Amino acid sequence: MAAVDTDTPREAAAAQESIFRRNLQSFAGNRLALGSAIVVFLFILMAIFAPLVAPHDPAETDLFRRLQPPAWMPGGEWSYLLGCDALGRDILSRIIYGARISIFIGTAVVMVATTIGIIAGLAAGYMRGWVDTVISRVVDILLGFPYLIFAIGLMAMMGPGLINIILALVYKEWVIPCRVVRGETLATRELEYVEAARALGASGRHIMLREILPNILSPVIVVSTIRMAHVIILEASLSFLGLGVQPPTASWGAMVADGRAFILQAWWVSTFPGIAILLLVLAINVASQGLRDAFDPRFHE
Amino acid sequence: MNIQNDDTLLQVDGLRTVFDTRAGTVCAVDGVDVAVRRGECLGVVGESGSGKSVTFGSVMGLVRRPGRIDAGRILFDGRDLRALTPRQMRAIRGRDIAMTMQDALTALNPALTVGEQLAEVLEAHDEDLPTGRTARRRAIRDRSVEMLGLVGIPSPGTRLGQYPHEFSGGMRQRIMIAIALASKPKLLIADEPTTALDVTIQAQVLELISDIRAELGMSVVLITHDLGVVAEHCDRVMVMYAGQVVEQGPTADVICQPKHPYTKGLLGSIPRLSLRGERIHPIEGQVPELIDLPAQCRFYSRCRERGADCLKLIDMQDAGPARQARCIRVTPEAAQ
Amino acid sequence: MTGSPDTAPLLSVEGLSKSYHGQRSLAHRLAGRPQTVVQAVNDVSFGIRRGEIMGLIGESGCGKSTLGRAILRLHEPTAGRVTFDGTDVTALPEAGMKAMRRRMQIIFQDPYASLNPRRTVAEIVGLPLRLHGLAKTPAEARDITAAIVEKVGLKTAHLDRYPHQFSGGQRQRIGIARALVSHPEFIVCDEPVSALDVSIQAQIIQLLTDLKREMGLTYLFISHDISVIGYLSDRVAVMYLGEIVEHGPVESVLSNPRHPYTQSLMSAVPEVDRPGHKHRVRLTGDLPSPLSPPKGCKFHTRCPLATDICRSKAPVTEKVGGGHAAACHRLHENLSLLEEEPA
Repeated sequence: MAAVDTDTPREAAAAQESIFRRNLQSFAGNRLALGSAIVVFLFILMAIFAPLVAPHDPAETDLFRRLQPPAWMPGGEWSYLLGCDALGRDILSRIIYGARISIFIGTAVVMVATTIGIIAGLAAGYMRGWVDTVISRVVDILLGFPYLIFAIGLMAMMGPGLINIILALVYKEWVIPCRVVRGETLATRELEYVEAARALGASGRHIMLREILPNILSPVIVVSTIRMAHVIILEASLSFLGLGVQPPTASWGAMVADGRAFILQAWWVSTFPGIAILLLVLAINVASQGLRDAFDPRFHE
Repeated sequence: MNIQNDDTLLQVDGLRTVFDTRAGTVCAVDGVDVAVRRGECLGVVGESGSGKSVTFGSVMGLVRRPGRIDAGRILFDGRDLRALTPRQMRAIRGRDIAMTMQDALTALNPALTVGEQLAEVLEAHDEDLPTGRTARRRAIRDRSVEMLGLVGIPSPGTRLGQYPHEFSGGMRQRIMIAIALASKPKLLIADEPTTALDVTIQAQVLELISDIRAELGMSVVLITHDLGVVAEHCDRVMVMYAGQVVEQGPTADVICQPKHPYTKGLLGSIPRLSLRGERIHPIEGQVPELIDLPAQCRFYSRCRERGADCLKLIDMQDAGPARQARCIRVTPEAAQ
Repeated sequence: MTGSPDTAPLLSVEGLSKSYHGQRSLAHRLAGRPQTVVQAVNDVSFGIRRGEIMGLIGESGCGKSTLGRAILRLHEPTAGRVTFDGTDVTALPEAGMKAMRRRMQIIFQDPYASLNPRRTVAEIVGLPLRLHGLAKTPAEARDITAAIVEKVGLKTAHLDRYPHQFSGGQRQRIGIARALVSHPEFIVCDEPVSALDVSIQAQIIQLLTDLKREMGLTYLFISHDISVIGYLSDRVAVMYLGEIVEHGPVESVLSNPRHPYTQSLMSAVPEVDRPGHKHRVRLTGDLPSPLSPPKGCKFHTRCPLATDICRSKAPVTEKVGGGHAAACHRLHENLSLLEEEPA
């Protein structure tokens, strides 16, 4: 219609409806996304309260129960619901404790990477010039490396361990949010309210942190939640290859690897941890899709 | 107005177009009557929310869900447009009635060249084209070059192969007019053709429309918010507010002696050189929301001449020869 | 002259230029290709007196917005000098410039893009107070913002709302409040009403004139709408392709334009007061690309009066009396492209 504006007041709108709240409400209205978010939340709860939830000690071996089938199959027991692995450890308990690893690593990597990515992206996008050139080249180089092989190489150099895994994954992960932030910053810095802040005498730091950042957080959050799923799979892959957390700590990827030798006679050793990975990653993906839809400004036009 | 004779090209009676939104039913056009005679230029003036664009979008049959035409009769050249099948309507749209939009960049297909878009229209509506493939293609190309030349695009032959974004705003508007006129329509509806343009380009575009109108005997509806444009180019003017027509009549009469308080307010609030040093008197307040409007004069809350007797539904009143206004304080006067 | 502005200019612009250089790739540099340069503003000089409204008109691409921003150093000028109240603004270091920004402000055209969507009105309007330490306590800041918000016609209840909850006209008022809260002396108004409905335009124009009177402001009013400029301004400058081609008291320039470009502009403006066709000066050709401006007088490619000297030599600005001046080689021949038609 006309380019000139409609001057109809919207007094009916809630007095303090910030954009964030409106987006949250929109997300809550998406039942599939909300359900998935609840699933993720349940996984998180399970991880936090693992000692209370798990029926057995995940490291307790019992050679009498070696490769015991799940409860509903002949030879199974209800107290060992999903069966036992090659060392007689309860698979269910190991899955519950394994959630800690996956979720902790996933969250830690994404949080550290996003922080680094935001700082680098803001600097590159707002300050341009040589800062941008240097950061962009570094990003391009890192993007050229295949993720898993790079991580394997780093782990081989640094040795196993929780911190090392996080570092090996953050090493490259930060470029993803950095690119998003840089792109959004480049676009936002041309907007008039940024120019207005400059005209009022705001410093570069103020503009980056208080004008630009709040307006670009939405896509960054969405990307970060999606990346969490990737990171969890990467961690599982590393563990599968034996480069992740070491035994006896339970990690889903390692559990899948352990069960490979017995896949024909004791399929449950690999399958249930695999399903756990699948469920968590799927839930995260669906929830983050919902987040993306809810936080996309065009969706609300 | 209900002058129904051979002279009338477009006759709209009691048009009501609504939009079903979650917040309620928005009545964008409420009981609008329009009459456009052959060869005349009607100016339609209104601000946002006046319903001016939706009115003619309804005439063109372009209103989609959640909008719908709730009531009214639309007669074009004697035919009831609402009774037509979509196919019949498509045959008329673009050929007998053509419409140009305000934003040429989004109205033109960015993925097709200008030549391709002109060819589309000619292919669909021009019956004089030869039938053989090569002859037809050449005829279309010749007609396209002719049309671009007519609207003042320099070196039309080469520019046929260019894309809309390669043209300036003024030229894109002219291309839209070329596309609209390619099939020699009887009625051209120009929706805000000059709003985004510089004043000299604006003058060029309007002159172009006038020249072509004179040449083809075409009727034009010029939708705009600029009273100056209307003053210079239109024979009659229709002022709309909040989905209704509030005043209409010959342009010179309406502008020199407005009858409806809204028209008076608009004219009194336009800043211009001749008013230097005087206060302009802006109309206070804002256009009301078009949902659940009370049954009274819609301009009541902003009107300087309001009274208790305005709190009821008001029809168009006779305000002089060929003039009407939707205000109970109007008295018809003899023509000057 | 209207009103009583002081005689020494509050703002003085001398030889201001702003050019943009295109990036050349290494290959182009090696091949010796010249850099593309767009001269957005070219050697502009004028002065604005305290209490005056200086209008700046021109069509798209003439550089008026760039000029307004260059004066405030939002785009750094590539040449020339801007003097405000005796201080050379163009030579100021960052700290000095920040202090100057309290006194020189800007109102933007787009009411939708000029407000941070994630901040409340109180935060947006209060930003200058925070940046310049103008309020000692949060309570004081709130009082000041409440006062200024009411001054522009909004309510204190609006302070805690977000921009998207307001209409265009209201948002523009918020932008005006933000520009005024530090009590500046000079404001660049960059097309402040162009994006608004006609009746709202009138409201905002009335608001701007009232505020100017109450707060003793000086405006540089940029617009493509000649009628608005004609109503508001005391003096006006006409820009074409980065240069000022004519300037002077507004009545003189708009009623008796001496430069052919101004004459063609004035003939194209549709006037409500005079229904019916008027004679229009038709310019030949299209606007030249700013990448390759014409030599000599930049207007010569479209000017019906162009002669040889116009094609080779750039004209100087010459006075025609009463503070009115124009840059045209044929100025003194007193030609007019406008023909008066019987009313």
